[in-house]
Amino acid sequence: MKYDVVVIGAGLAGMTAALKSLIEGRRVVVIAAGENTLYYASGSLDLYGGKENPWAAVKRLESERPDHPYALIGTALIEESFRFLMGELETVCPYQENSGENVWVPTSLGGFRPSYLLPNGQFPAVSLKKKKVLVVGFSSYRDFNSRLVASGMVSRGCEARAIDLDLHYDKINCNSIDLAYYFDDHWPDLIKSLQETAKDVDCLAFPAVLGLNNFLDIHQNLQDALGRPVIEIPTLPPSVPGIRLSRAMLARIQQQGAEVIKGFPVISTRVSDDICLGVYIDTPGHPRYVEGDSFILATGGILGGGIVVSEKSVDEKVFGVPVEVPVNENQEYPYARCGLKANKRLQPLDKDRKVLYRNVFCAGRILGGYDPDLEHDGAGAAIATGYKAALEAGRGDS
Amino acid sequence: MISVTIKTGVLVIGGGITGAGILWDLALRGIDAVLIEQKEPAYGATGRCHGLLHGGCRYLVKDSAVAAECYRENKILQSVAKGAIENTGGYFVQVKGDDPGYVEQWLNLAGKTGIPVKEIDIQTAIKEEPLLAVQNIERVFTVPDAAVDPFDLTLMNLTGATQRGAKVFTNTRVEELIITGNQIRGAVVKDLASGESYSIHADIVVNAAGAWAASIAAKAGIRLNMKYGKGTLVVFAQRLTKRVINRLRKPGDGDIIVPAKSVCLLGTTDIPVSSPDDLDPTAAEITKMLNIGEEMFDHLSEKRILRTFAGIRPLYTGDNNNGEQNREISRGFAVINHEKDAVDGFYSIVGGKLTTYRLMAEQLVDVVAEKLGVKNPCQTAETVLPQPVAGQVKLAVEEPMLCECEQVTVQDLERACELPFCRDLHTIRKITRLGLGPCQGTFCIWRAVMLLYENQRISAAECRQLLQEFLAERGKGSCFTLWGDQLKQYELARGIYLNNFQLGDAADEI
Ligand SMILES: Cc1cc2nc3c(=O)[nH]c(=O)nc-3n(C[C@H](O)[C@H](O)[C@H](O)COP(=O)(O)OP(=O)(O)OC[C@H]3O[C@@H](n4cnc5c(N)ncnc54)[C@H](O)[C@@H]3O)c2cc1C
Ligand SMILES: Cc1cc2nc3c(=O)[nH]c(=O)nc-3n(C[C@H](O)[C@H](O)[C@H](O)COP(=O)(O)OP(=O)(O)OC[C@H]3O[C@@H](n4cnc5c(N)ncnc54)[C@H](O)[C@@H]3O)c2cc1C
Repeated sequence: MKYDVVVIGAGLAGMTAALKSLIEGRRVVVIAAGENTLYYASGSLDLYGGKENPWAAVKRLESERPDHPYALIGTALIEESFRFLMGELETVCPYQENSGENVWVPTSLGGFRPSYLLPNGQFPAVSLKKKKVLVVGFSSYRDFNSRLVASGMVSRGCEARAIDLDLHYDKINCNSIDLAYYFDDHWPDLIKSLQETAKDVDCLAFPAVLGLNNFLDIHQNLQDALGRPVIEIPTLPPSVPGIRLSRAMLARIQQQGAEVIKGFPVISTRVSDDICLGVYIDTPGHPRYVEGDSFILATGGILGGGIVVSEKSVDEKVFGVPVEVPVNENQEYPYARCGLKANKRLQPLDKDRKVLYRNVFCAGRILGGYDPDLEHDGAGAAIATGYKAALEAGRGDS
Repeated sequence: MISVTIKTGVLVIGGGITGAGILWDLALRGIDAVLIEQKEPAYGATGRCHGLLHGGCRYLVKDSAVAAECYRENKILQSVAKGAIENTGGYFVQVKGDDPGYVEQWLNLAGKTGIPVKEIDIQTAIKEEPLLAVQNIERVFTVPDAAVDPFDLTLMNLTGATQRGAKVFTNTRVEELIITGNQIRGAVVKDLASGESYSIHADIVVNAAGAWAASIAAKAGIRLNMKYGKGTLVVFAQRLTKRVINRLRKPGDGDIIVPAKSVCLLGTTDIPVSSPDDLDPTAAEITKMLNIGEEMFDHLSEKRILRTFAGIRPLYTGDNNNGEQNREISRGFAVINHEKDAVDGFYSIVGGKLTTYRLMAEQLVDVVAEKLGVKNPCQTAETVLPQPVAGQVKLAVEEPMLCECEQVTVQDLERACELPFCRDLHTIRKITRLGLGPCQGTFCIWRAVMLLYENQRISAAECRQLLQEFLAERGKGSCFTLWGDQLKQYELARGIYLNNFQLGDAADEI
């Protein structure tokens, strides 16, 4: 069977691309080696930077940094891509409207980080100002310290205090996911423990562990029962809000009729001149061959597995596209902005800036020219380039 | 104004293995003593060494007296410092192309010195150590080498000494020596945490500052001729060998692998440097070592590397300074009585090895005891040191865990914090091995910081600062081996701390 669009990689970029392709009516297959970087990310979606208005920053990047993925996409399409994804997620993993400015979200370190779109449950710090916040921790969950978070909020003008609940939970060592599964069933315990204390506060803040499968219901029920807003603070990975987003997107993709092949990497390709005909997947027994009209390469960066660094070389393994490692003014980490080079259609370029494959389009962290960790543009770049790649793939170039 | 706060019999400068061993020896002889360390215990060469408890074989050809000394001390430490030692045994391996004449000379001297060396057939050796490059190997010998944890060994000596009344001040630097006439009177020290200076009065001052010994002596106007050799080590994410494995040739770069708890270390190099603080490895050194290592071990450079670091070998050149290559200078040690330099009561101890620290301490304390008129003999060869604080096997009980890689529990951290000389995260990490495994602290340093905050040992601002320091230090340890899975691990840590916790750019916060 031949697909219209073969998406390689199921991170935020690949899944956005798949969703857009499906909505456009294409036959789509998504092939993913494994889970994605959302499992570590906070679940809030960054657009760009901190204090500067992010849209102004995007405009600035278009002229100052032509290699930045945003410069390849342009403001209008970035906005369109965000609207598209928010629409798709509305019922399964809703995000809150944004006024066009960055918002500052509390962190587990008692600080704040800038972001753009927040999932239900996360709140900007300004909305907490002057409020009485109760930060709730769990004594068996040592990745989150309620006092530390409360002290950070106090230093920013909230009246926060902390309590720790003792869960009747038999694991001595638990992480965020353990707790999230626990609360999928045991969330009513929270109401019992907090009903009285909640009366004295304006809002309750929890580590982001309030359920994995039923979060939307749990969140609503908790707010209703406690009569107060309930907020979640992103934690040390694994990130429950990130996993919720990832699962919601994958479910949506499957619901829209895509085939998903997960757990096996793409190991090689069949090409004819500058056209890719198909890819081989490392399935048990013998490799499986998948044919397609267009291919979206969204295998992530170094962490995602799209870029492989050995002692002697830096490689993109699926198509062998050369990886740029720009000389870095920021000596702290030489690979911060490394990645593939693409044209405005997101086709991969070789060293001479020539299109390598006409029907391959690159999206997400596999692209070079940006550093999500310092710039706060990871999700934005993934969504915008994923969306754009789907548009280009839909044009059918082969 | 400097206020006198402390009086003691002997002031020991330097909290490396030499200083710690001296403090333990003094305490056992009932001599009142204080030890001052500018950073944390084992900050210097001790914490940056290879962890090979020499059986002596490496030095047979060069200096068989030193070899015999190592062998004797090795046996003593196996009985008194069990908790810090893993008796792995060792192989000496002759690789194709290595000088067979050297091997014959070596064998001959082993016989004469009485160090038990036995040839085994290559098939047995390969079965035991499958990483050995079979096609390259000529001969293999078993030797009495062992692995020693230098952190544990230092901390056990310090713990034993403090249990017997000695005092240890970490994060405290000796600033000046106090000398009146020809007589040493003590030192002015500075608590680096509070910034406060005070003086310690002592009858005797012992300079055990390792590579920094010359700068301490200089404070008394005395010149110590020292040379510095930088040695770089590569830490792999697993134990690649069961034993210590040594190349059987004239000692050179990259020819030893030492297993160390859950990891193993390849080393070293020896590059002349001009100062004890010249601590940065270079990419070229690491490539060179991996290449040499590949002659003895298959696929070595494909193995996951956790980090690299370097230490400085302080070599006392005595009075003749004729520009020999560093490795040629004797590894023997010297106890120097500075009475000859017109400062009475001041002693320096320089050179030596981790393996021979006990003997060095014994010889120095013999001199000091005589000076003080104390008759008690040395007891360190018979007295068993206290067990290490952390790191006991805990398979049976499920305890709250901080560090999955190194199996460090909440209790381990709490016990470490209770030690009198434990003042910072560096010391905690040396005591517990927290963050030294494959994830290199990505998760457990966070948990440790949360716990320290919970126990009110640090403030919210210090949480941030500790994590920042940790990231910076980790960046330094990883920067020459950024590849493979360990690079992914590095990206994950960078994402967590810079992206999610906004540690890079505090100024940008609201
Ligand atoms: C710790 C951390 C925290 C972050 N926090 C935030 C945040 O809070 N907000 C934000 O906006 N951004 C954040 N980012 C950045 C952002 O998460 C990433 O930039 C973004 O998710 C990357 O998405 P991606 O789809 O390009 O790649 P990935 O999510 O890495 O997905 C790559 C996919 O490709 C698959 N794959 C790889 N190789 C192959 C192959 N050969 N064959 C088949 N499949 C393959 C992988 O299995 C995976 O499914 C964070 C990043 C990190 C590391
Ligand atoms: C790379 C390398 C590998 C080695 N491998 C081995 C091995 O495998 N086996 C072996 O037996 N030996 C080995 N050695 C040798 C061994 O490490 C040293 O001989 C031994 O650790 C020296 O201990 P020390 O206490 O004398 O010095 P150090 O450990 O350097 O201690 C000196 C201490 O003095 C402190 N200090 C300095 N100035 C001041 C001041 N002004 N005030 C207060 N404190 C001060 C320093 O902070 C330091 O902690 C190796 C050495 C190196 C460099």
